[in-house]
Amino acid sequence: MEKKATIIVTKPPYGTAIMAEAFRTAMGLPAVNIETRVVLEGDAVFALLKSAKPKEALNLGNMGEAFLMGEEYGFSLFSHQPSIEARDLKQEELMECKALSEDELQIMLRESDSILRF
Amino acid sequence: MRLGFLVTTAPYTFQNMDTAIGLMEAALAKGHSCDVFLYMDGVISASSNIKPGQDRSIPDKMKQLVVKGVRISSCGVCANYRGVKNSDYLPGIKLAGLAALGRMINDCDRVITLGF
Repeated sequence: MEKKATIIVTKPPYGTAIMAEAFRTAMGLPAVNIETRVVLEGDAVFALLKSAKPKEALNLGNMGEAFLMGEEYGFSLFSHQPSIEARDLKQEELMECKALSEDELQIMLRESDSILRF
Repeated sequence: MRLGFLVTTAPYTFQNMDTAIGLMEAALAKGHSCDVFLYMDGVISASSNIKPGQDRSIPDKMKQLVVKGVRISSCGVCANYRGVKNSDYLPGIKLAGLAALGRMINDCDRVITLGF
């Protein structure tokens, strides 16, 4: 039977390998028949900034663009609306991604068999 | 109940591996079983090259957990990035791909992440 895993990423996209490792995990779990959702929460929502140019600074890929390819890898991507608002980010500044309310996030976590936090 | 532990931080810098060991010892004492997946800097925890002197020996405790039936896998890619080889590992602990993490999620009733 297929299990549901939610990967919550709370750390910012650059400066550490944490978000990149979360992405690697998100790519790997659907391959072993695990329904995988990723939620960008806290400083992780900065990954969705359209203005980010990590290639210029770090020669790294753009984490937001990578996560938004989730459907191709078999996982679903969500952001956390309260985290976006707390950072005063405007929707037009961000790449398009379904934003969850606090209640929706809680329901998702309750329905998850496993929660992995990065 | 089968418990899974995902540990992503280095031993001795963070308390996470100690916490996982303590929880596993308590769970095993109550008849539960446990799996571990070492990820990111967590892969260092099971190296037989660790020599903590008079301090607590995390590798010794992990060796005891293996003897008690705990399945411990370690991310091979993370190990390569950190210069840890299969031959560095304690007996019974092996490098594995992310499929081993998936197996742990599929096999366990609860998964606990101990990380940053």
